[in-house]
Amino acid sequence: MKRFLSEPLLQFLILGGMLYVFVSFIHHQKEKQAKEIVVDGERVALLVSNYKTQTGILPSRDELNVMIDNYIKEEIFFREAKKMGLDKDDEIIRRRLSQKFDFVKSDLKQIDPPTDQQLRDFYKMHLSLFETEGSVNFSHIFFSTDHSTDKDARERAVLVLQKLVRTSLQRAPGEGDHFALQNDYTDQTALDIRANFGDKPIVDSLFKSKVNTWVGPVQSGYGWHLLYISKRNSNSKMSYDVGKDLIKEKYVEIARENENKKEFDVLSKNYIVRRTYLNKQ
Amino acid sequence: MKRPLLQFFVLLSVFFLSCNGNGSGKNETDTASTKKENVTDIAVNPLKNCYFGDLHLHTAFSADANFFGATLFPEDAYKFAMGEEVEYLGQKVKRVAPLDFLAVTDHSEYLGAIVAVRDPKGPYAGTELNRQYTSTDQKDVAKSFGDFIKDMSANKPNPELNKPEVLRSAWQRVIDAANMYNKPGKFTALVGYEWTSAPNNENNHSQNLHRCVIFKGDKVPDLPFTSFDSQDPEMLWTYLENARKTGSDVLAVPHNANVSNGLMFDTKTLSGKPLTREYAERRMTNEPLTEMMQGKGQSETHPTISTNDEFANYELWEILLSSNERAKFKTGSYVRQAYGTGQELQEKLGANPFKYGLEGGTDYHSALSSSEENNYPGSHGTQDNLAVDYAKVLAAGESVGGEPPTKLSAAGLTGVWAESNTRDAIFDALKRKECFATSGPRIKVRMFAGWNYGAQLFKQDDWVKQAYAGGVPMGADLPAGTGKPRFIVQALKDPNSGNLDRIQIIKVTTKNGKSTEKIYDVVWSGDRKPDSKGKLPAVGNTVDVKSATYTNNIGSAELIGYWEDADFDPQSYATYYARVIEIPTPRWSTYLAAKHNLPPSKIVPTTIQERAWTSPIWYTPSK
Repeated sequence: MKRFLSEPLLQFLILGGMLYVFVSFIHHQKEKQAKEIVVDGERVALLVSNYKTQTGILPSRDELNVMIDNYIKEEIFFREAKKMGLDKDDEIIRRRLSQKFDFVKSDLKQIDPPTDQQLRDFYKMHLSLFETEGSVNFSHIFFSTDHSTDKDARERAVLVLQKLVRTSLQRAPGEGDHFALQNDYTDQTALDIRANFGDKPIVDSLFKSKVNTWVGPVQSGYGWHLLYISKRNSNSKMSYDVGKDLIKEKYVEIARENENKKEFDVLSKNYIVRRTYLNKQ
Repeated sequence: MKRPLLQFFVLLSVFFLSCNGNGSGKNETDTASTKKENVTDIAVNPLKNCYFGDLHLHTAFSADANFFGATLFPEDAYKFAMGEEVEYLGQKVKRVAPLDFLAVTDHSEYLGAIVAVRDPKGPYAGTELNRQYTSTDQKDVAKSFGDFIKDMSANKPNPELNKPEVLRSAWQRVIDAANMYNKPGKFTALVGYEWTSAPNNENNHSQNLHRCVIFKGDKVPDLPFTSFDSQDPEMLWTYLENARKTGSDVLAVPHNANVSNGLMFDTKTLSGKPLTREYAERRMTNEPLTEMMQGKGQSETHPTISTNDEFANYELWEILLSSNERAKFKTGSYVRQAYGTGQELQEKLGANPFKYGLEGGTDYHSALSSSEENNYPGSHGTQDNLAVDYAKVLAAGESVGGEPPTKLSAAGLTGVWAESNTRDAIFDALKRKECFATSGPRIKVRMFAGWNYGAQLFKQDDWVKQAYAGGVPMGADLPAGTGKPRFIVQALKDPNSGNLDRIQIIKVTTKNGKSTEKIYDVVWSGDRKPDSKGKLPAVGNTVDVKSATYTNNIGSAELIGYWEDADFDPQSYATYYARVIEIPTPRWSTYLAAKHNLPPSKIVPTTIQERAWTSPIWYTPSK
């Protein structure tokens, strides 16, 4: 008997059997739980309070019974849907959970107020953030598309341009159509141009084309233009003293972004990412 | 279904806010200084420039906005309006074209109270109320929101939330924020708030009598006036008259007459008395303007009132706020009809109580005045977060606001003709009604009337100067004269929007207690000819709905024209206003659907013809 019991095969079978009994017990318990829907007093109170918020009055007994039945139905559907794995590849559920997590994680970190020295260092390292916008002075000639086709308006502009490059004129609004706003502009930032002429090729042209010569034709939200840029003020730096509030704001913003990134890096270390799409077919 | 969803959003926002403490920008109040306007070096144009802005915007300081998950404050609102990028619900957002002016107008009822009550270091720290409002337990969240709705509906404040010291501190931050971002010559920030009177009808649903209160300067009363103080506009006027005596000039702007259930332009007072001459004069002194268009629809007219107006069926909002009840609107709810009613009253009383100039606003509860159709991120916090809930918003058939969220308009703006961009110049222009409303685009529209304008005057380079010299601009009374009134109208398109279809003049006349309206097409694009009945053919439609694109190869960039009122009767009262119509362009909901490759919403039209409305010019017969 002793020898029999010390037989490794038998030991294996006994242990296996015990494990089977244990696992099925757990499984049974779990299944029992999964089949149970508890509608307790707390749940009913919540249903009542939701109803009251929505309507301002308490539900009648019949209405409450319907609400409880609906709750039970929703719970059953929810569990069945989960069993079928319907939650798995649902974009909206994925995104909602991920956002919920993001909300919970991010912005929790309190950023310590920076010292003056920290702020100065930050300012020196991020000078480009504190540039005030560049601006232009220019005169333009307008070619309207209201009474001619787009193509004709552009061609008229080309002809005028050919004539103007042989002159020393720096403004010649009379060579084009009447423009309802101004013919000459000073100190216009890109933001001003987007508001006054539209978010169109004219914005780029004013900030990139050659200065002190006629350029174009270039399109705005109104039609075609020839441009004579007489001056372009490049971006200028905001001094530390003037921009201190803004610098502090940017400091906190960037510090928070960095904290969030660090947090993510720590999290992502727990995962192994396999980019199988990069594998050769 | 909608309630659990709302609670979920509220829950999220509560949690988010409680994490954030008192929100962004709090420490900025310490450095806010009341810089005095130095107007000596600001260029002044006596012929006036056109400035665009919004006089109606809510931030997280408004209790309802806060419940909807708003996290941005007045400071953020000004930054966004000035063209800076801000973060909204996790997305970076920015206007294509900045605004020139803005008034943040948070609800004065519970102003800033919800922010204060949640502040872990604020005046409510350690109280039960603080626990309840910062709790993430569904029950607490539901109770907080439920209590708020109950207080508003009963118009009875919870004394715990209505503490003068809390309101005063929020009000001070509103004032400081406006002072901090007011940059004379560049950007005008006006101090304001919204008085949220909404008396209940027989079904306990709110009838909208809201007014935005806009101050000229920063010498303002200690506390704003609230509907808890009184729901009667006459009491608000008393507050304004007192404020004017001791400090800055101030005006009120009623909005959403469309959902006032006929009360906004009623022919009796709220307390049921007949209107008097004194009432009419007081009303016009205190509220010279009304809001023609905003997020919750237009209040110009209804297609069943103006049956001959082919453009009347535009961005309608017909459900009383926060209810499912259709608003009564046959009388007292739309501006065009009120122009006639006002003249009828004028015949009897000697003064017109509805001689309103026009402005437009957004009324958004996001702190973002985002009126650009192709750049609209949603406007009511987590209620319509388009970056996340685009599919749901496009399909939703209802919302806590009443109408479904797709029906919210990406609208509107106020255009102002002022000598310079300063508080004084902008406010004075509003007061003399030299301003107009748009459905969102920055359409620049002018209108002048006189007795002697030549038909070719507008072709001269200095026509504006001559028009001022020989007549009056929008918002003014046409002085007595002989012959027939002559008009010059000009409209310049928004360079970031569609071309222009036409300019119309809409005339409302009254004689012997009877009013009629008539619409005249004055100038239009292309070589279209009116048919035998005088109807101008439609401009066409270039919109491709699937891709949400259009081309500007129809319509005009500029329209300018002359019109003489051939039907003029010197014995009739007349209100004339101009309406500019754009070519069809995609509605924001169509841009959104295209972006996500979804079918467009079936609840709203896929394309709209955006528009601008000038303040009227009035003619009064001499007795």
